[in-house]
Amino acid sequence: MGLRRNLFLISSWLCLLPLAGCSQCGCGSGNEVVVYTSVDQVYSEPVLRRFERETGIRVRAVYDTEETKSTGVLNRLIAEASHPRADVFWSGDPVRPYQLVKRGLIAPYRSPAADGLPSLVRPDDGTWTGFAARARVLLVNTRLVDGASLPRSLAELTAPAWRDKVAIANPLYGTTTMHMAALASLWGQSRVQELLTALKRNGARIASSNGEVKRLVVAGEVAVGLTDTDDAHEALKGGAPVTVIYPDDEPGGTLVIPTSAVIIKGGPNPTAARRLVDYLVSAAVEEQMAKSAAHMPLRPGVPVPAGVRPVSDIKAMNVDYAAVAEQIERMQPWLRGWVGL
Amino acid sequence: MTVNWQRTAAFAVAAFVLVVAAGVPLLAVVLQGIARPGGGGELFTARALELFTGSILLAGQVTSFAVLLGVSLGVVLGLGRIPGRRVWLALHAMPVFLPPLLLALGWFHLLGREGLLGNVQTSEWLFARSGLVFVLGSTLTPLVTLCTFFGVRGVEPALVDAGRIVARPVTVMARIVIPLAWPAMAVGALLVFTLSFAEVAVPMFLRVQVYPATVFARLGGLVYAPGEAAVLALPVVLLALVIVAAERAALRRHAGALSARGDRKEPLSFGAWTWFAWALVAAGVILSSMPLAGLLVRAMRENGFSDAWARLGTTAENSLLVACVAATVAALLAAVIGHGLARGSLLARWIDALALAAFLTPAAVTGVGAIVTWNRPATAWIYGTMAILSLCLLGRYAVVAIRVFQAGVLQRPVSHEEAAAVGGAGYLHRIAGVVVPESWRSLIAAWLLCLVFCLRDVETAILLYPPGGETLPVRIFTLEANGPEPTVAALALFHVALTLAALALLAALARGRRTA
Repeated sequence: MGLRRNLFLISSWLCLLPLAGCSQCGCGSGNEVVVYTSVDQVYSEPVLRRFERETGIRVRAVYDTEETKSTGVLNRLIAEASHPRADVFWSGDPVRPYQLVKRGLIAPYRSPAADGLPSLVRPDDGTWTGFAARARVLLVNTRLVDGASLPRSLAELTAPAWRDKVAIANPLYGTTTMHMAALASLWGQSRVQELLTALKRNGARIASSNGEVKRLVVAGEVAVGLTDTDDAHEALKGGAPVTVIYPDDEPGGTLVIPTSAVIIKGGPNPTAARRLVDYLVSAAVEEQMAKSAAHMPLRPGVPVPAGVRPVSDIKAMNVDYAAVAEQIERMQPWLRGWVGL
Repeated sequence: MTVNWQRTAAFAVAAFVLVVAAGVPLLAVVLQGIARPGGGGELFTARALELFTGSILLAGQVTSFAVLLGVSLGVVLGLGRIPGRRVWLALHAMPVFLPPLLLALGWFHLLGREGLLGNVQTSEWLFARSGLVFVLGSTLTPLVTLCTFFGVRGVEPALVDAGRIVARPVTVMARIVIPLAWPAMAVGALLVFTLSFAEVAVPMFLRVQVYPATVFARLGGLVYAPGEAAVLALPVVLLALVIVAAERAALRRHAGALSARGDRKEPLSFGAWTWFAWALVAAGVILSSMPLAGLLVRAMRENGFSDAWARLGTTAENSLLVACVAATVAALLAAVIGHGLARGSLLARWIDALALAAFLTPAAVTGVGAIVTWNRPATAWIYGTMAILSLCLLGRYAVVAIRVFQAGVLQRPVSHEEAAAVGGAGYLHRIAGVVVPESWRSLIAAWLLCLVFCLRDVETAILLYPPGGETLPVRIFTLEANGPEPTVAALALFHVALTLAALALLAALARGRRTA
């Protein structure tokens, strides 16, 4: 009797196994679209929900963490290359898509909705389309730094006055990788290496992410941090004693990082994928991202809310994003050594 | 003949499940490593070796911290006259329910330069190796406490009572209880060692370089090199095998079966040492509660809880579903493999070694292996659904259930099983009719601990969750990037509450069974 009862319990539990799978069938149904995004969930989810409401197409999303906290959706896309599960990749920058282009994982698409965006973010081959952008900025704690001493460039932070007062995110990950590679493509790799070496010698703290850089500056652990405008915007929104410096005085200027949308080759819902990309690159989304995430619209004429600097007011770095993607791979071994890995 | 057939079939099924869940993904990444041109020898630099030994040392320090506090506390709460001990145990255990990074953030809110209790000195102490040992130690100590608690509760009460006639409580603890319950304590220590060795996010946050970060650097970021990651993960797998060998050598010296049924009714009084027992309980509870208090303070600001509720969606259901399935199958496997391990089965040792290797190998590595293995049209019903999460969580955490149940069985006399065999009971009948009823507490503990590990998992889930199928920890970590801090803190506390609710339900069921 006991044995029979236990066998019954065992088989009952085993019946749950298929249940664990039944609610999330990954088959393409035509009226849904699967999107992987490295844009922070807090910003991307409202956009995707609005798309659902306006089109009736169900969106199934995979969101990313900050890069140092998980392997990330880009590498998941690469690992899934043999049988793609995603239709669209909405990237927080234009460099990640190049990793997919290089592996032949992108279906080119020139969205008619992208008219009005600068040609710099609409390459002729249609592999990616850039829109709502962030910039790399210096976030300064105003309790620790007075107005007269505000830094204007990264190079300034190698001075003795900034010893042990600076944080920079781990350059093996995220937009910091892209920033260093962009500087290297403009200045030459050796000059960037000198800058990073000098920063390290000056006691710069290597944080695990840009979000943590923000956290360290807000908490007064350091006086200055190199981070992105969306992180800086969150600090300002939270009432933290901080100010934002665009390093326009840096040779080359400030790095502007558009978000980008691409269609994955062989994805299960190609028609819905195109509709989602059309929506993402539209002026409406640029406006929504400006309001919610302080992303700078790249289209002229899209309203810019107070506190968000128009991209036309920034001395933007003139970079070739494809070259930056190549540069990242070249720099990687040196950067690992710099970090200590 | 029947007996052997049943045993062979049970082991074959268990081995098959574990090979599918853990072995094949591991093999897939190892093959990627082998296929990599150059062999990978150049990756093992002096710096890598330094990091590897440093990480072992760090894991040793964290384990020492956890054993020192956890064993004492587990013994006191397990056997002592401590009113409300289950409440204290639950409060102390709460950090185990959360990914360690959230606890590290809690400590940062307290001890950072502008934290509630912080200044420059506390901040410097926290952002160093000392802080890392403290944060990981205080986060993982409850594992040792829980294992010890269940271990000492399984010690034959008559032995303790006999000891009490001639010796002081402390002597009884040191000479009788701890030696008899040490397999359970060893499981706790092993879990702490492996978890602290494999941790990446907290060391990164506290600015301490560790070896697993070198593996992760090949899988995170913009340069994807799974082959290199696999090569660099090989020493970790070797370390798992060394741990298994060392542990078995130690277990061979173990006294063996100890107890018939360890349902102690009368708690022990510590006499003059009562103050010390209470001091230990207070230390354990305070240490566990402080970072959670930090999160609570955050959550109560700016409607953290109401916003968190709105963002919860189906994540809690998803978490519970996949964790329950994985923990249940793991407990079933544990009944076969854990029992086999305790009774010296060679096949069980091999299967256990595989499960331990899957536990110790960085989740990102096995996750990539799982994608390579399961992302095929024929297996879309697994890979495209929540089943992939249950399967991979099973592969990763089965060893937890196996080891906990093994420790429980080790405390039971083999003579009962032998008597049943002489009476004609087949293998399955002995497992279901003798082993499980005698060690039901251990089986529940195995299920419970495995459930907790599955519920708190981020690394496996983030890489494999199907679109739209986030678990609660994944939601916490995806929102952590620029999400409102009060919301993130409130979600973390929801997660603690969810785990506690699951455990309370289980405890109620167990009590019901005992009453019946």
